[in-house]
Amino acid sequence: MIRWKFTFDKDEEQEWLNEYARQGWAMTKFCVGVVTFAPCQPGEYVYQIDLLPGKGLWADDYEGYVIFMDEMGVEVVQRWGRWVYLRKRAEDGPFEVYTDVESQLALYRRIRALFLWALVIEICCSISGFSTLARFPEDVFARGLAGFYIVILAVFLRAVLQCTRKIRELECQ
Amino acid sequence: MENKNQPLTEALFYILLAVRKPIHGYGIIQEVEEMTGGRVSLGPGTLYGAINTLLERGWIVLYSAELGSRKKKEYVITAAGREAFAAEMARLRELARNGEKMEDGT
Repeated sequence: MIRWKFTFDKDEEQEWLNEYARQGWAMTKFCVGVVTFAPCQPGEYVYQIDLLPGKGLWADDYEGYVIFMDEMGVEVVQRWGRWVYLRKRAEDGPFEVYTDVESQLALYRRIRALFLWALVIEICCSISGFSTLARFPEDVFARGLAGFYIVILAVFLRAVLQCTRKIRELECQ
Repeated sequence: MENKNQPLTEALFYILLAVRKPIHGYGIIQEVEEMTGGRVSLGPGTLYGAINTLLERGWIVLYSAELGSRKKKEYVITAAGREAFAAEMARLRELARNGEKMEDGT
């Protein structure tokens, strides 16, 4: 089964995957918003999403992470750079990747830093797009491109703000 | 990077305690759960981050990792780790000692 999901909200995506798992559909692949599911026993797996420590899109010691998770009975289902989809069999006990405020804060700070980095790159790229629009304001292609840049900018900005809100909530605990 | 001299988080405290003898990651989780009657249950990401922090600080070292074998990595506390743990215990004793004043009313 294939479904479409496009979000940069980790918690929302995680809950969405777990809802399918409860209904007997286990996520097996993720590629640019296209999510592939395979049948499983209802509630057989619990899914979690993690962002590994690292720089830019590159994770520090990914192999070490996979071996460590494997020892904990956790399977890395899909990886995109530092972004990983994890699952554990529900019968092996509860599954939450981060169980204390300190490590949860560190996770949301990593996610926010990644989106801030993406936002800065996006702004740099959009400058050429907007300068083209300034020179050819009537050009349909230039307008479309500028619109596309604005949408991407809004998406990244929203992700940064969502992380900031979660960080503030955790800091209050 | 966190400050080395800050009070230990609960996770770091219990992990240091668990590695007083060589132990692998899953063993740490079980030992901490046992010690706290299930109150502190370390998630794998929390444990992974904490182990890396402790390795970076030189408070624990890899005890065994046989390459090519399926034997799990084991960790053990170092002299610097014991020192940090002793400093934390002194801080906690002071807290408890001063806390008594509330009950004594002195």
